[in-house]
Amino acid sequence: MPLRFIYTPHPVAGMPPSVLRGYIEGSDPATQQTVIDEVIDALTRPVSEDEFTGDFAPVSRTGTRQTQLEPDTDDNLQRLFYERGWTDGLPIILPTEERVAEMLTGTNRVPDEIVTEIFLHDTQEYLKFTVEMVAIIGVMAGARPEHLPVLLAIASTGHPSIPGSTTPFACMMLVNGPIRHEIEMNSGIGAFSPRTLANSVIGRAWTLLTINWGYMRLRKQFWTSQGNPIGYNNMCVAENEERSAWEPFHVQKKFRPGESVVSLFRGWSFVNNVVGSSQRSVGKDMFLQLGAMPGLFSAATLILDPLVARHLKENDGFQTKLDFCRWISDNFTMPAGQFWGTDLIHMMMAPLADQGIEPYATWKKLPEDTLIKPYDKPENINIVVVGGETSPMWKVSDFAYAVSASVDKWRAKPITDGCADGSCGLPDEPSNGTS
Amino acid sequence: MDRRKMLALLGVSPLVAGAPSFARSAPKITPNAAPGATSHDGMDSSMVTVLNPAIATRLADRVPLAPRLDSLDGKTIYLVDFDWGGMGQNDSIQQEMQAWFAQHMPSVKTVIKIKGGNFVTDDPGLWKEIAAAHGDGVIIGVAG
Repeated sequence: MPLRFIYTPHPVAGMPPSVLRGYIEGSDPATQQTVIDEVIDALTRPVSEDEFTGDFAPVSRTGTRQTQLEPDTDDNLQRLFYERGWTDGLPIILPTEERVAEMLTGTNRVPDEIVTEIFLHDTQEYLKFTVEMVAIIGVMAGARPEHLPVLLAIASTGHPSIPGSTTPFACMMLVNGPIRHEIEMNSGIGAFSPRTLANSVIGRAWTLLTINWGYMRLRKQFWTSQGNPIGYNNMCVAENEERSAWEPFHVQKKFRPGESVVSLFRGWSFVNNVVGSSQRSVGKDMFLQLGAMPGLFSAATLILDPLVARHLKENDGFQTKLDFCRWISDNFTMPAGQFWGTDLIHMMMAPLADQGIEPYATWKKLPEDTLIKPYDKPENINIVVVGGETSPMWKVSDFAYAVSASVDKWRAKPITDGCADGSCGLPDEPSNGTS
Repeated sequence: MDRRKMLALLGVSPLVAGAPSFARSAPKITPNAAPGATSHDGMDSSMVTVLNPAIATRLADRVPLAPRLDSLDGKTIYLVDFDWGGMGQNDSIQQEMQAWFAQHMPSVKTVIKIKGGNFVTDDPGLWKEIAAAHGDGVIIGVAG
């Protein structure tokens, strides 16, 4: 059903009545019209045929897309793309016909095949995103043809990397399977650092897809107050399956070990462990970091260096990832007052407690200092093994698993082997003597 | 026939033949070309033609909007808080809107309701309640 949208200034939650009255009598930040006038107008203005004409710059409402832009200089086109809101602010590779044609050699799919359909709630539009559109975005991001199957798999999920929210939402993407080696993704030393081509450009392409899906129209879908720098490349990484003590993440999600898969995660915060855990067990150290997380619906994502994974298996006896997750679930506690005192928990889970849904209803009735076990669903705790084994490091996050998608159906290249230490893609050390 | 199909017919992986570098497909520009310089086809050689990243869209199939009210005089308007903050802590802007109507348009009756569940869940019972009560209009608010 089409609806008429009116935007108030933000924030609203927690604001005193005088501020809220000012919002109502003040301007809609999206239209500069008076909010209360817009409210009355929305209730009384007769419905017209053409009232849903948004200002989404990337969209052509003619029903047919102008294939090419007017020829211009490199500098002018770079400026045009930026001013149209088609970029992440960084320079792009201009999507010439030749480059896009070459990008399309990375898949066996035809250019006009629909990869995903995105629905924009405010303008009531479906965006049909084709293989060619993904290829254009891939070129813009600096990707190579061999990266295209991963981009198509990401696009096929329809998941934005920067969801519409006032909060600093962020996303992470993980690649498993043989394609990690073919495209030289880094799962080893410095895998999250800005050094490896595939990790950098694939992650960036997800955000450029998101931008072109309409998720970053200022004060329409894009409201994040501070933003999140993770959005520049979305922690794009591969799992170090070869050095991991446990089964790969995609196998946990019921994909075949030889299948190439991209998995997406969403959350807000990451905390890095620093140095190690010689004074406490790894698990106890992680508890301190989990204590800073909300524990929303038992979701967490732990990224462990292979050294840590092996330690947990060989010294602490956790034979599988799920064994360790169950131990966290059984042993991590938090005062009920701390849990319910987090706004995010109050927002998302208190209404469920109020409806009698367990265990939240029981937890809600407990005294504030009573300890609860908020990670009650161990299957919602994700473990990913990434790192170069130079130090027993890990990262703890509130990221929740969202979805996985097979890469293989988008591919045009046979599977190959290699890259035993997971450090594919790292360029050689510079030869100028620097280190 | 396009290049990809041709390579496929030849039994060559298009990717292998096409990969990996952009260097071979650099845009057809002449670095430091003098303004107005032209190529053999008469086009300014510093000009680049690129594909349009804009998406063609179609409007969603729609359930038509309900007819609008002629005026708000004597009407009952429901102010529904979507409960973004949880447990009814954000209906204060609805309260201010109710106060505004009471002050400026006193003939309008406003009723505040808080949607059940969290902000991403539906509350069909509330919509039925409003319909049964013959509400004339609804303003649904979700706020951060």
